[in-house]
Amino acid sequence: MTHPSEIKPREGYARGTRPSEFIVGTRLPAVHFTVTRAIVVDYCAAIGWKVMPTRDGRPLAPTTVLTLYQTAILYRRFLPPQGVILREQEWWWKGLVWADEDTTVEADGEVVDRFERRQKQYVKWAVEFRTNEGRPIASSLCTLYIPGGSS
Amino acid sequence: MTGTLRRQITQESINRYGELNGDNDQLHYDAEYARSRGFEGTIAHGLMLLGTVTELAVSRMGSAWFEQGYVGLKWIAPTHAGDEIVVAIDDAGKIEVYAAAGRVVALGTATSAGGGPSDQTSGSE
Repeated sequence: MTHPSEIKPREGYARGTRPSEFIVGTRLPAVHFTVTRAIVVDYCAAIGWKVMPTRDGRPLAPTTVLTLYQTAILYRRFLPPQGVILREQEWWWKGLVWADEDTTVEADGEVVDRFERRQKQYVKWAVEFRTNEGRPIASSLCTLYIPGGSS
Repeated sequence: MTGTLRRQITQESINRYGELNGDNDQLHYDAEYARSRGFEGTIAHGLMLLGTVTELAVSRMGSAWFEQGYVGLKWIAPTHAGDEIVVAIDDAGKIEVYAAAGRVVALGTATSAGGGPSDQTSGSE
């Protein structure tokens, strides 16, 4: 079992990364974690998910359970500052996560953009999620506002 | 036909989500700090909204959506503790998320299109 907080550096325990320190093209090393049945249950409870999807009578996990781990991929390479704001998310679903079994996942990514809009600094990064056996689960792009002023 | 889903956002639900995902950003827990940053009070984790959007999307498009679907969401205003959010998705996949008094907090798209970031992106702002 991998609780997301076990692999994610937390805000406030070290100096956070300034906007100018995010380097476009930086590879984000692979992180391995296990999405357990218990994590799926906790995730559904936390967001109030009422009706579980099924496939042939078998319960599926909301694949958005992966969002619990998404920032860990970035923050393990670039420590998070306080005051980060989520700006945009895109997800392409590629494979199922079952709610009645544990799923071992490998995720890695890359910083793909850094830009300024209206005197605010944004960082965009991509993550690929797959099972440890290599079966694709999802691709994501995320854009965050990073406090710290103009570069 | 537009489908909708309502969800109450409370400080308790924000705390619960943050405890689960390990987010320690004080914007979610410290109202005074959040106000010092220009917000009305503590704000919800944006990914809480994405979860609710996804719940509605998969209920409309079926479980196959989790094998070759797409969802994109752009946050344009904060959701505060105490807000009831309303997620709406129309037949074209257009997503609108409202909070108190009809205030739009996020817009996006959910489709059954597969692919990946190189095939379909909404661009940066």
